[in-house]
Amino acid sequence: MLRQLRMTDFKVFNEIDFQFSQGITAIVGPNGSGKTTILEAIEFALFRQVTRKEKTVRNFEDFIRHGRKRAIVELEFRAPVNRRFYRVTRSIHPGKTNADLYDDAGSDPIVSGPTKVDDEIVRLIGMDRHAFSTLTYVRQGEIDRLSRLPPKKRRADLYSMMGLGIYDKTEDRVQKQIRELKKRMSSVEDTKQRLESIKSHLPAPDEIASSRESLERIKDKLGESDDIVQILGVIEKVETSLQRVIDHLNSPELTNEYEEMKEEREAASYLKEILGVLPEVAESQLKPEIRSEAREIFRGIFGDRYSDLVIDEDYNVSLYDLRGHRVSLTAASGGEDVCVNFALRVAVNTALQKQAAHRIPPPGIIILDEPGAGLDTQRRKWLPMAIAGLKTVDQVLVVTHMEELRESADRIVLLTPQGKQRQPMVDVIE
Amino acid sequence: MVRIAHISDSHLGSSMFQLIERREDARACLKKAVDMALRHSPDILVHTGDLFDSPEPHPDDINHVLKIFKDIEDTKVIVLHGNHDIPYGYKYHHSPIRYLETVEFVMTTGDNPSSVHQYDIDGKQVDIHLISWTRKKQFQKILGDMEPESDIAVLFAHDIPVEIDELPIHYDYIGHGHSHNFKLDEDMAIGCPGSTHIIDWKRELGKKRKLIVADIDKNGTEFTTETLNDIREFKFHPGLDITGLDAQSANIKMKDWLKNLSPKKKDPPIVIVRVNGMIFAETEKGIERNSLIEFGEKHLNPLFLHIEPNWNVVGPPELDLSRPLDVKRSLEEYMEFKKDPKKELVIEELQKILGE
Ligand SMILES: Nc1ncnc2c1ncn2[C@@H]1O[C@H](COP(=O)(O)OP(=O)(O)OP(=O)(O)O)[C@@H](O)[C@H]1O
Ligand SMILES: [Mg+2]
Repeated sequence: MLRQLRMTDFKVFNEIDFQFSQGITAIVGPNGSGKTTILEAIEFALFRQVTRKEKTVRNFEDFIRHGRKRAIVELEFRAPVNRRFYRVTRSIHPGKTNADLYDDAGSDPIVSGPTKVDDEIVRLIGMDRHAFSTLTYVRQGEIDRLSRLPPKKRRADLYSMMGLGIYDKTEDRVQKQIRELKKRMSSVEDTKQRLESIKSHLPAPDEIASSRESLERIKDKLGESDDIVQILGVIEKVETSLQRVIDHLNSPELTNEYEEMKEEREAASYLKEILGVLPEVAESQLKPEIRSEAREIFRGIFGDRYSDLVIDEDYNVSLYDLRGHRVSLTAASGGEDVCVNFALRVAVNTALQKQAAHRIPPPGIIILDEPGAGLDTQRRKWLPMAIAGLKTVDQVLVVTHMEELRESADRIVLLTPQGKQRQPMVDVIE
Repeated sequence: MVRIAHISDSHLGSSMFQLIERREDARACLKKAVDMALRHSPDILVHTGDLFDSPEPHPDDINHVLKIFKDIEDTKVIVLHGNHDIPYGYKYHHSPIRYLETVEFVMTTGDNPSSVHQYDIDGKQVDIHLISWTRKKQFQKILGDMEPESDIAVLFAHDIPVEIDELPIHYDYIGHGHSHNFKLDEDMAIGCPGSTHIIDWKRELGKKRKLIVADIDKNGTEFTTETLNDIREFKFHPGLDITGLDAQSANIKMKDWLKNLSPKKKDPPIVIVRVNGMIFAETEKGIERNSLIEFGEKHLNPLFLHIEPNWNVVGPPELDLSRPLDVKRSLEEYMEFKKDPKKELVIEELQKILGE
């Protein structure tokens, strides 16, 4: 899904080009050589966001290479939504960022400006940054994140991974509409109230009518006079004002249209209610698939100790060992924990791919920063093989020190620091 | 005539379900395979790699191998470095196979990925080309550089990472390992014996493992094969189905199933029961996994009983959304299912909000 990454003055990199291809790419190099930086550049290019040590970085200025004035990141990627290639460039300047999005071949941007580019990329990828990053990114020291989260947060994370955030998002839009309607309705109500109050201060139509009659009688008695014309003028004015107020009160704006708004608001509230229920229905359908995928992957790596992986209603994961004893995730070993988390992510990818005939496919990429922590030598060998064997994930980026992981890579990108602030040397071994 | 006996992939040190007994079994199976090979009085006994499961084998495994190979006379023993024998980075000099070569029990590719040898066997000159585990590119390069000079030439490799039609035709036999299943193409003269015992039951149960004996002379190659059975008996029962049952009935059904399997008095087998079906989460919760296994163990007295949960859990039989991530479609289906009279109204509202 990613084709090429170019960085200019981005942290340790001065000017560099990385080509990505299908299969497993391992990025290796000593501490501080820029491995994680490559992943950060990818995240930044796509979403104008970088998460580091579980915090979202807001101050992008730190990414400008020391002593330089701006940083540029350019990323070519294939959009799951239409399988076409796009190129996004973002630059970081003190205090602001810029962005342009290009069609593969095009030299003029199709969309410009950070927010617009953000939105368009979310559309092209078919998921927002949160969903994308929970689904595809496993950050350094974060592979066991899921098991560390409190159940509520874990559920939210998995929801988002499954793409069920779409319901929340629709619900938000409905809520917005409800608020809008409420506002319009209350302004109508205000108008009505005001008019009613004016009306209450004016004489009633029959009062005006009888005043007119009284005046007629006076006229009959005393004959026409300027005084009478004067009074009649005032009565007519009051009558017209009253008529206006009444007309306004009976206008469609304040009657039918108001009723329509009221009906619409009821429909919208009802819609919102149902949208709140639907994810659970959808989820109860997706979850079994995810579970059986995750079970297969987990057993592929830990089948010599465990027979099953179960996800309960609260998204608590538990394992069953070969003796049939239940082992909760908190009681499982560190390496087992790592493996469960890994299995779940890959399983969600696979399960979504199965739904893909009906929607935008998942990005088909998994990015792992030091995923092997805690696994023994044999299992570190299995980990990338487990990923490689999956048809739905066609691109895997692994950042690692671990030799076993390197061996199963199709390509190795080797970073060697060169000292004196120079960018690391890059060797690609295939 | 030159006679070659070919075995492979013994993975000494591997142990299914982490059973210590299986380490023992692996050793016994290797011994059995070597004995079977030697009964054919071959000129060459070749083991095409992954003799050990890890580059740092247990001393018991090393000693066992030394003992087996020590007594072999009149047969040249070749062992290749497999991917499991060498540590990361193709460090052939750290491979236990290299150690066996230095003590002159076997011949391998030394500290290199490949080597070329020429022998006089039975008055004939024979070229023997060896390629241990290496990267694909390296393999292709080595293969391209290897040029047989004698009438009879054989190639042994741990793995053949290229397509069959990329292989040169000048070899009378190409023997390889890496795959744990037996395969022999007599026309192409390419053979893979499979492992000497069952290592991964999921992939290897029901597949074959064989000793390959190749008799080569000027007129071609003739093959004889002999089945290598694991010394441990495996009983695999894939057909148990608990679809639709509640927990209690599922437990009873599984127990009855286990009861109907006949126990074995000696040589305890490995019994694997696979349980299939579609059940509700409630049923799954109520399955007494541990007591089932204990019951089965008591009844069958196996070395190991593995009950593999292969069932799927289905949600409440409410409604099946055809596209669970399509909001409008799901909304329609849900309201239709609920026979909700406000359906049209609500859908219209959604369309309006989504700007459709
Ligand atoms: N603005 C900057 N200009 C130049 N170098 C920077 C800048 N900001 C951070 N660095 C350096 O970049 C390095 C961070 O690189 P990165 O996080 O990619 O390392 P890594 O290869 O992932 O290392 P590890 O293996 O320890 O995780 C640090 O050594 C840091 O000093
Ligand atoms: Mg790092």
